[in-house]
Amino acid sequence: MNKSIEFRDIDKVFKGDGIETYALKKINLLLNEGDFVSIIGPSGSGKSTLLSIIGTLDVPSSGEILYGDKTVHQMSNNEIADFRFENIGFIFQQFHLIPTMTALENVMSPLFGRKVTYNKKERAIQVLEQVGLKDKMNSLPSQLSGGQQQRVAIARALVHKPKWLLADEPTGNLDTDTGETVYELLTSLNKSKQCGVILVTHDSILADRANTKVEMRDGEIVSVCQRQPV
Amino acid sequence: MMTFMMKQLVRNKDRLILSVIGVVLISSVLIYLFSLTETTKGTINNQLQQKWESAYDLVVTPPGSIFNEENLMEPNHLNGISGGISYDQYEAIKSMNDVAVAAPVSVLGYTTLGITMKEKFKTTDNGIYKYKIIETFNDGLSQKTIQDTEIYRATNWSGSSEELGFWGDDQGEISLSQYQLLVGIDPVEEAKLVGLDEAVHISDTSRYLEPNEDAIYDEAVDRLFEIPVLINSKSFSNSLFQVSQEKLAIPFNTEAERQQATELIKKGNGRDYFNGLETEKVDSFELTGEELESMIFKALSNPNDNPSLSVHGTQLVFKSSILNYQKIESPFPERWSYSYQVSSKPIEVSGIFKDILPDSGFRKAELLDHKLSEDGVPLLPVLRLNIVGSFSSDKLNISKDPFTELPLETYRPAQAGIVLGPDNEPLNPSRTMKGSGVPTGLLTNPPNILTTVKAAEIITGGNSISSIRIKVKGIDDIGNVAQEKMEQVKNDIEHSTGLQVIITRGSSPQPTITQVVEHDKTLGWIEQPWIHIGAAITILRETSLGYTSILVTILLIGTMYVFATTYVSYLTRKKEYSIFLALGWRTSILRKMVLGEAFFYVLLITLIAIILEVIFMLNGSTFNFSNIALVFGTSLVIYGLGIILPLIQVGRLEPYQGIKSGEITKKSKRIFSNQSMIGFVMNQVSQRPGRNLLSILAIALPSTLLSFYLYVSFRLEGVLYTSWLGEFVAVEVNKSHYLIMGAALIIGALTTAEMMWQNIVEREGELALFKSIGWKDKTVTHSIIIEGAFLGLLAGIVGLVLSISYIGLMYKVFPWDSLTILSLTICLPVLVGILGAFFPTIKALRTNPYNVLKENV
Repeated sequence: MNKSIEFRDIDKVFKGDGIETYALKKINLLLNEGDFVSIIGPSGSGKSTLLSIIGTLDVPSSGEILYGDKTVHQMSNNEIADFRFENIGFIFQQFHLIPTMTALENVMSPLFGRKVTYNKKERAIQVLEQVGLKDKMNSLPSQLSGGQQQRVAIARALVHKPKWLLADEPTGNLDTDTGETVYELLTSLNKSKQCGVILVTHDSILADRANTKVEMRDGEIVSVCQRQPV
Repeated sequence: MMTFMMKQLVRNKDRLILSVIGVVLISSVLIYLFSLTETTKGTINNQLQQKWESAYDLVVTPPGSIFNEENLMEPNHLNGISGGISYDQYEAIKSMNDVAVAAPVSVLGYTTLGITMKEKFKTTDNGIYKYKIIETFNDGLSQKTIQDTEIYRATNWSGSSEELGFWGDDQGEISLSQYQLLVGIDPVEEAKLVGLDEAVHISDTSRYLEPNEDAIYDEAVDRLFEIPVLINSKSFSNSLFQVSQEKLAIPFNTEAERQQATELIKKGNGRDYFNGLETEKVDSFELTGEELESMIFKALSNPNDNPSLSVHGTQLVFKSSILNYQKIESPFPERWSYSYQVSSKPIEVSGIFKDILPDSGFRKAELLDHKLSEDGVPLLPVLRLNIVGSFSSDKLNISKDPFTELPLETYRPAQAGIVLGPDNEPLNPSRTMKGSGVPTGLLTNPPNILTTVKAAEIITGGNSISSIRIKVKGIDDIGNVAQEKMEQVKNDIEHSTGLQVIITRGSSPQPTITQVVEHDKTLGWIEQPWIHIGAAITILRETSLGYTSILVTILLIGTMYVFATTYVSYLTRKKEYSIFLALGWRTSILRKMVLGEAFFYVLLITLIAIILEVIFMLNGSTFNFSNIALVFGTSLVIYGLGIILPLIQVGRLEPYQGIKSGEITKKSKRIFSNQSMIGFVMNQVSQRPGRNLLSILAIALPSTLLSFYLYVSFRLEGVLYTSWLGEFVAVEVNKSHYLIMGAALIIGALTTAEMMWQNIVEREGELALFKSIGWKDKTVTHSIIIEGAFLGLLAGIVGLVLSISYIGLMYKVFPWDSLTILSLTICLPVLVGILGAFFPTIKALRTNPYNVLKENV
């Protein structure tokens, strides 16, 4: 099945006090399966909103978004949840780990209440190993450094092997070195796991390293650059 | 999932402590409430239904025949009514659908039942003898003479005349008589009502009355009726007869002596002459009224046993009459709210009946309706009593306890305690006042001769029934349903017959005090339990109102608390939930978590209830499963209601909301200037109207009910202390209600604490910022405490409005006189609000500005 994502005339409008603010304006975009995409733009350019819509966390005001040949917005809440579980892995700038859960529990948390064919705990340990934190699996988030926390968050996003990893400024809260480690991790995951990565950032150096670079300004796509893999 | 949730709870220690306090409180209040409701309900019902139960539900009387002021009814009033209800009316009432028993009473009146004892004294010496018969009686207040008769008789002589004042042919016989109240009943209905048939001694000579037995009019003698009667084998007579025989010091043996003596006596104006004569006591004897009564009844039952005794044909002389009570000021109003006076009046009755009554009495002496003979002699019915059997009043199916039982029964003598002396001085111990059995006496004796209503109808010629005691079908407790049914039967009877109906079920004895005045001199004060009509049902209604409101409040406050905690818990988790949703969780799992947590608390509450019950059990009471089931059920309901909002909210939650990284600013309101502490606090409160409203309500509700309850209990005290039952209930009920209200207020405080806790958590960044720019701990503390006090004040105002409108709604009054109680409604919530702010303050003080700022900004 084709796992590309296609935007057709997506608008996102925020209404408040009688003023309509366009967060997204007529977005048309095609993202291919397994691609490494970066979205770059200044604050308020709509990149995070776009990411939220891709991740089904938010709905567009108008327009259509196709995952392969499926439209998500006609699905029921449960179907959307299932879709999200199977296809999307989220990584947030603030990590958003559950403070009362250990690293392992945080990683296992997406599997909660779901029937899967594999052993949940083994899988969780396995992904923690991939991000290099197997030894920290019983630590609470507060006992981990920022970079470690973000890697736990990546492990959590990976646990069910999603088709796409959506990362909203994953390195934004990290120093350059740690950020680099996280970025490397994402790149290697993209290559080895064949999962697409969509990265929102305002770091143009990081953005340039992606296969596809989408540049946004004021809710509109200014340019889409394809880069041949080296 | 359980383990996951447990971990969540345990890792959130602060909140867990708050929750556990709440849970323990709810659990113990519930278990206390349920065991309390059970015992108190039990006690009230027991008291109402057993001790104070009258043998009948309603009593029908002729209109206006019962002294009835402020719903108070004189005890033993039934004996004072002399007919007025027709047999047709009785039949009509008896045939009504809802009437199970209609037992009529025909108070026929007083007879003088007498017996002659032949050759009681020896008359071997010829002469004139003086026989003195004195019947005395001590009612407890004074020694009273009922009869004081002197009879002069001469032996072996028959030449007497009216003017001589003495009689001839003395053979030493003595005639004694006493009053008996004669009452007609319906044998069938009386059997149903009090089991009279079961109380009859069954033997060859003793049986129960037949339903259709009536009076046989003896045509041979004018006005003579033979009536079947049942006699009470127990006598209530308290009098003493002292009979003496004295020989006058006047020779009366030979013809010449007799001639001389009669001359002298004539000259000396008969009796006056005798009074001046010396006498020589020959013989005397004493006989109690009780002995006399049994002698008479024995002679009547077996006329041939003792030929020396003969019972007189008896006249039905006096109507029974009512006492004339005057309402007066009570000498001790705290003790007796109602006080009356009875005073003796000279007896006015025509000549020949004067001798057989004391000079003065408390009741009127009124002859039965009669015709006069040609020479002006009243023609009164004469009775021949046909004793068909005897019964023992002890075997009747009525309560025997004289002080707690409604003194409404026909079969028990009226009693009163003499509690104050002539000068209002308390008598300790109080003495008992007894009835003399005389028609004009203060207290009456119950009828010891019963005949049938049919016989009574024949003797009086109609309208003989004085009252009808009614038992209504299908009533076996005291409550609103029973009351409604009785009201309905009462209305039916009143409309169809025009008679007066009083509901006696649900009455309570009410102590009243009566000043007894004889010959314009106060003898003392007697205390009697009067019948407070409808008191029990009032008390039941008021107390059950108290209970219902308590129960409803606890449920409401509990729900409010749970609502607050689950809502706060939802708020704290909102972000987490959003993340979970973003990770692909279905909403149903979140819902399951909310449900699971609620269920966990329900189980915890039940567990605590079980532990409490076990503690109770170890302390000697029984383990009560139904209480635990009730606690489980109630907490299930409370939590069920409490989690509705979070369940809905979770469904509306969008994953995006929780994760927004501060790009869209939160709404903020500014109503007051932020330049003073007060303004700052007000803004804080107004920024979260929803949840602050919740905490306001959580405090307002219990305080509303507390002040309402205070009002009710003061009011109830008014109702309660006017009757014995009420006093009992009041003592039982008060403390427990206050205890529960107190607990409810603490739960209210906890709710506030939860809410403010959450407010503080959300404001952590802000507070940290304030601290980092130099706010003192004191300032932070002040701002939070003031916020709590402010919420409490708002709650107090809401509570005040609510309680005034509640009282207005329930009692249709504006409680001006209870403003002190109501002002408590304001003060208490402020206190509770401050108490609720205390916990969050500690939390706020622990805030480390650096940590918070690092994470949040």
